[in-house]
Amino acid sequence: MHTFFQRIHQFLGFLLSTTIFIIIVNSISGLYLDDSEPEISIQLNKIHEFKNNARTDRAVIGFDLHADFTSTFNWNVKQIFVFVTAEYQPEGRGKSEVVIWDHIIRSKEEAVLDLVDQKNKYVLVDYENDLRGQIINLTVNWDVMPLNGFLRLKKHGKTQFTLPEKI
Amino acid sequence: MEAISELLSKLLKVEREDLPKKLRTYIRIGIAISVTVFIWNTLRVIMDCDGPVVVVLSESMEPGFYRGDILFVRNNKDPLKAGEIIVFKVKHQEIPIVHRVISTNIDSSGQEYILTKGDNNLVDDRSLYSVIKPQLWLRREEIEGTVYGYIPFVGMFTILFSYFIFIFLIYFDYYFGYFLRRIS
Repeated sequence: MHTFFQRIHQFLGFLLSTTIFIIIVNSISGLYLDDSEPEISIQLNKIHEFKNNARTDRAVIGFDLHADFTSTFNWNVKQIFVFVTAEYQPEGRGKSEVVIWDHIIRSKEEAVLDLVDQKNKYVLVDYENDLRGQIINLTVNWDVMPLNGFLRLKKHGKTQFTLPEKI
Repeated sequence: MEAISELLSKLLKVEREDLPKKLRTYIRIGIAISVTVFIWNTLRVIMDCDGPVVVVLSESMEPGFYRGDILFVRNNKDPLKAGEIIVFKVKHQEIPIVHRVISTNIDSSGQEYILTKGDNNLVDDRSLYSVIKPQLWLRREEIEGTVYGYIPFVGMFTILFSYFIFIFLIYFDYYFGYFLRRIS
């Protein structure tokens, strides 16, 4: 009555529709499970270096970051990509955002970040070399990357400082 | 009518009695293909993007995205934010690249200048932009869209099927035929 091929086909069809259903439900659940705000505080420790090198101003700063992402983890979170951006608004131009540090959190056990005087991974350089005297907002951003579903980009925790006018 | 079926059976090299069965198979394949094309083009229009579904082919975004994962891409007109994962294609480069934005700048005329980097790479993508001549920043028109959704592993089938496309077509036909038989 039922051939081998028919059985295999029936099985694969059922597997496919079930998987699609689970993927859809899981993607939607990720959106509703995550409404808790992690605790984050960021502060400038000190400006280590603000130098002109190869006709470009480069800043190396140290910041203190305390963050607890434990509550952000749920069953549909694969990893959290945490990064710190320097945001500033140069005169006559649009807002600039530069990532100066990033980190990947892969499990709940490593979700607590406690950094003191962390130097930037990527040197702070401006597109038009316009960093002097700039007011800079340090912001903590994080990208929640799911097992499947939607990626969510969030930001929180700001601190402000001014770079020196002279080098 | 007689003449048409005569002609068709000659063209397809089948007996007259087998003609309806044969034709139904071709119609099924035709429907399957047109449904796929329709869905794909509708997505392209809605997401305002040349390739709304992308398969990851490289290891540069590990451990976030692995080879064979599927990404959903959309394009909106707002300025890009740092940390977004974008798909871009530089002139004279064949394959689009999926990497994360690490710097956004807007100049006085409103043109965006963007720098990207793969999570798994040690350096930024400036060497990737410079295909023919040195290029320091990505421009907006080189960006195809932002990644908003993710399904792991499924794209591995498309990589496999590009090798075994023949088997894929047979199964595809059988599967859609199964649905149609159920509906009718």
